[in-house]
Amino acid sequence: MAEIVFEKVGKSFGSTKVIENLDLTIEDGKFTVLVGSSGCGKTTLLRMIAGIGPATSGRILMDGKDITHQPPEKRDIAMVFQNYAIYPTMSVRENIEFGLKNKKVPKEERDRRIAEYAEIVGMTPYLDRKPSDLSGGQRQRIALARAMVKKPSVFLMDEPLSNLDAKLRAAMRVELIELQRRLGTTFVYVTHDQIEAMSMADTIVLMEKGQIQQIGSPEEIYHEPANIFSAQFIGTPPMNVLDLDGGVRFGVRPESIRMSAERMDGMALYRRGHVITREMLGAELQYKVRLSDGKTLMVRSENDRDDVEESADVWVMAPARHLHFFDADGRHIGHGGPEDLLKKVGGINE
Amino acid sequence: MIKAIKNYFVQPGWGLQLLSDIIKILLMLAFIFPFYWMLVTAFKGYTESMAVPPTLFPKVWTLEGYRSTFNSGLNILNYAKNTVLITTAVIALQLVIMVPAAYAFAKREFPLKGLWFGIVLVAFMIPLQLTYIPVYLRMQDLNLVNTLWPQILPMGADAFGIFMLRQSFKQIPDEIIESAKLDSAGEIQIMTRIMLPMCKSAMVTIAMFSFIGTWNAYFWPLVMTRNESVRPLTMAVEKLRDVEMGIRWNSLMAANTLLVVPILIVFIFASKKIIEGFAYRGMK
Repeated sequence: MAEIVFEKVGKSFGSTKVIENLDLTIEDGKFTVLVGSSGCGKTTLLRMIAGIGPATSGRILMDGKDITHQPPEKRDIAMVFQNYAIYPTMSVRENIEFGLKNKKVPKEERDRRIAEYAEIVGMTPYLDRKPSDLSGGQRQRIALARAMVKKPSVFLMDEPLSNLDAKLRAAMRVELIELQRRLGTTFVYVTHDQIEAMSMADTIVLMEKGQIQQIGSPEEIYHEPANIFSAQFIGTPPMNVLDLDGGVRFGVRPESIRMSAERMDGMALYRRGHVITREMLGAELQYKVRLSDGKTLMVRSENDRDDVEESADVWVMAPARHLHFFDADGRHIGHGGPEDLLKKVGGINE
Repeated sequence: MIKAIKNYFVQPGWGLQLLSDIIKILLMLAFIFPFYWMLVTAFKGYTESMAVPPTLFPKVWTLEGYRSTFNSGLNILNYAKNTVLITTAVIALQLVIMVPAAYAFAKREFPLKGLWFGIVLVAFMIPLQLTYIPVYLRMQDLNLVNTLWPQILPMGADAFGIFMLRQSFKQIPDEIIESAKLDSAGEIQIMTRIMLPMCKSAMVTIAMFSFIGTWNAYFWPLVMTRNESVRPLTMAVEKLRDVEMGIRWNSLMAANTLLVVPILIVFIFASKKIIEGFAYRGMK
């Protein structure tokens, strides 16, 4: 069990400042996902918690204890790396056992724990194999077992699923969520994949250029984006953002837009559009639509809701509660209002 | 057997395959023949070894060659002991010096790292012959000439070995070392349990080069020593050429087998290890 607190933390590599003055609290027992595009500083934060890339300024506290300059082996943590970092010359058993041996855990206790965690990750039949004989998914499981067997109070994971194929990734995602619920340990998970972040996190920490853009539950981040960056990072395709006057912009998610040959009542946004492409994605349809002013929008719709043909001329509409307004600096002002802005959106009122 | 031969001649393009196999066999014979000649000559009698035309296979097998080598008045065992001592010491010293150096160059940051590594590479480029006189003078200052030491100490670090090991260490992802640190491993454990096993092929290769180089060294011991009691086996073989009038080929070849067979044994053993080492593919 552990809570991690960053206080005014900074990190520079040479003269390049990657992170400056960052404050963040990672809650005890929660699944926290640090998400952002590559180079945003998320892995740097994780390495600071691990103690393998110390902060250049500020403090990091774990359960109130300053661990900023504590060496990694003194911290009660375990980490799973993107490339798994399995020891290739050791057998699966030796890989899992290595950390325990170094910590001088007695033999019987080691054997008991290895058996227990090998079972949890389903690697019991492979304990005496060499990692080179195993598949990517199996190596991933070794890395997980190796981390779990130490019973750490914090689990760190650096894009652990990104080397797996799509199917396995989806399966492992569910397993990791289950695992976290079962262990009740603090998980800190780094990814660039917003779907992973949304599906696994209790709390998402969205980062860009070394700064935290938003902290919140997946629901909060999706429904109440703090700014345009946040609005456009989460969601596929990203939120459509259109200009209003005076630098003010408004956004609408592709899945909130309605399209039809007929004008529907009770909407706040009305525009005329021309369907450029129509993609059939299974349960959903995805369209690219050009508005009469030349701007393009992405629209996503369930099959049985709005199905329009390619090259059709349609009404593009959205209700007020799905419109998000942003000020000139990109900060979220509100959604579904204020009234004066909502009026400006209106577009064509026939 | 017959089936295998039949199969050989029905495979598509067997003509080319046959040609290529014949060339391979001829090449193999060309390489093996000198060794074969050495071995059989060592077991021939003196007269047979001098016979014209030479016999490809000894008519009479005899240990006369070996006997006369050991009875030549040279203390063969002492020469052999020196060779073993020198070779073992050189390899041990090289590992003790080169492994940490290569590790530091590959994985650690320290001031002027580039410059230091440059110096190592320069040492790699300087012809060995240029170093004879300065090293000799230094050994003389230290009063070590005419002992085993000048045959060991100057070989203690080999620039090529450091370079090769460094490359090998560099290929190990940093995450593996970080992971080991998170697994509470100290530097020594990281080195012995993780880094060295992963670099086994490079280590074996370097040790083998050193072994062959030191075992076969002739000129360096010749320059650095005057006294037979501290000279290696290579010098004894040379000595056999001028113990008596004319060369006793069987005796000389017997001495040569003594010199070469350990290398062959080590090579056969090591080549297996090297293949094992290379068979380990980098892991994602």
